Amino acid sequence: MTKEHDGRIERYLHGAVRGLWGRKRGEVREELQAHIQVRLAAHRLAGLSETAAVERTLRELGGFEEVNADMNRLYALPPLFGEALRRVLRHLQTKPLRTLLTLLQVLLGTLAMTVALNAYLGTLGNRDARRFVVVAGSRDGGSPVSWNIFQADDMQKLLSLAPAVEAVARYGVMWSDEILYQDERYALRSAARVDPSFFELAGIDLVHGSFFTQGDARNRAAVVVISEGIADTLFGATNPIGQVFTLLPFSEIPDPSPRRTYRVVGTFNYEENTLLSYFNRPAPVYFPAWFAGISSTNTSSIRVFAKPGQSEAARRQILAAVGQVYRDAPELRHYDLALGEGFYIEELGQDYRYVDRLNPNIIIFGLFGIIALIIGTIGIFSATVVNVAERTHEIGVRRSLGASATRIGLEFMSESGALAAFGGFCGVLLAALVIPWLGAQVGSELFAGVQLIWRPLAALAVLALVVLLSAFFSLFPALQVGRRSPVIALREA
Amino acid sequence: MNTNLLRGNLDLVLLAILEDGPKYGLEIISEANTRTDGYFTFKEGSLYPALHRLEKAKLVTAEFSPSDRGGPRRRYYRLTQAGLAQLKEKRREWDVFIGAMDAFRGAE
Repeated sequence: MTKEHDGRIERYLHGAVRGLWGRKRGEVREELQAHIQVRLAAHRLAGLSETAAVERTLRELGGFEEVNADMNRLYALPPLFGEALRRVLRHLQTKPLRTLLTLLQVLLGTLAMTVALNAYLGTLGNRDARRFVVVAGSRDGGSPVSWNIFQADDMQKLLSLAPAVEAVARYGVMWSDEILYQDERYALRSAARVDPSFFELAGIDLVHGSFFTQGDARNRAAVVVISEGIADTLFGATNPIGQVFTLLPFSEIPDPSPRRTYRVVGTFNYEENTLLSYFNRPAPVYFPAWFAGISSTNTSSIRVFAKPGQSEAARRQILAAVGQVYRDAPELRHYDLALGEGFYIEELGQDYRYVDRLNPNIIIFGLFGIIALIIGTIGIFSATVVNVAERTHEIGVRRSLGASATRIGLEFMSESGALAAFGGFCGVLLAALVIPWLGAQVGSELFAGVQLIWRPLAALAVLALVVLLSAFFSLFPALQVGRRSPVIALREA
Repeated sequence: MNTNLLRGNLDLVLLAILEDGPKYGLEIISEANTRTDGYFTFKEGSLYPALHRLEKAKLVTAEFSPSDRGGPRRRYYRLTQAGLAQLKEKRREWDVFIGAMDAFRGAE
């Protein structure tokens, strides 16, 4: 068979299956090809030349357009999507650059919004309330009181009584201390005394050095972990690890604890986590809990970390456990509290955990997404306006032929919706690819502390938002169509 | 031939041809030609969308099988139970129609 004949047959087959997709496309093509081959062979056998055989076979088949149109009607894409695709394709043909740009804007906006929303939902997933505080005290009636009741030796007991709890650490707030370093005094606005397990429990990562160890606790070592900012203030460019400073005794205490010199063993990033932290920010300096705060080495609160998925049980169990362990404590006796009273749970929720978890990159992504979406919808709006203006004549003709303004307006609106849906759909598809990759590759750095998982529902919500926004924005030009009288429309054009 | 007449009754023709057993496109065409002494000469290409439409309506099933005479694979169409029922229904309709039309057939 000559190249020319092959080309003719190929053109027929290609034209016949155009627009079909997937398995059906292959099947229809194979069926038609077999038909052509058998017919050709028969015509050749009957004595026709190759050219004549090809000619006759194709003539008997008829135009491919008819086959193609019928097949497309049968196996069209899902109607809504197919219709959107057709409208977008028409736009792409008539105004390729403008349409591409608009699509790109919507695509980027949807992508960024989807990533941001997924990341945000990831923080919610992470903030599943596994971390909380148990305070020994009472907040009922007037001013809250608290007691330094938690002893180091009791922690193991609490853990065995509360199996849903993964870790506990004592935490004592320190107030208004002063640091002495090389004859300079520095005011310390907030500090805390903690057990070695606190750092892992709170999810704090060190920049330099190490946390307190159980060995430090046994030796009652005078060690301290400070923020990078404080290290910078005190020691400048010098390596902070191994440096020593003095904690001055709290002057308001009548029987002040002796001056003590602490050795820096670790530093952590504090400032970076403070974007949203106005309240209850984590302390920039952590002293060991085994040194006295206000006259006691006990603390008035413990930080608790529940086992995954057992946050509720952990709360119940730990409250029961502290009630049991401290039922004979003199403080509780003094206030004549019943068993189980005298302790309450404080959530870290809206403030502390937020500081820990909400990464600024999420906000940046979200902002970028919103801006891109707005630009995209404005793009669609302007495309619709131009569309209406350019097709004034067409509108006039159709109106005077009896097409209702509502129908024409709806058509323009659905075209904008199609553009938005198509761009948004591509953006969501891209997000489905990008999000797992981001989560696996750079997720840990870009969205520290965030579980970046592909959530189809979130993507669907963004897509719906995109389409609704675009439909809303194209409402105005669509309404304009209705207001225009056909006579004026025709005269204007 | 008035193609409009055919178009309205193509389903009946195709289902009736498939009544005797599975056939592929070209066989169906030649069968239609033989049975009507060449009256049915439609564009062969339009046969396939019609067959696919019947398939989609589950009146026939289709599958590729190697040809018993060699050459490319053929797509064989087979009547389903639903197709058979449809065929009977169409025939009945057609009988009624013809009976009714008889009243208007003048003498030639």
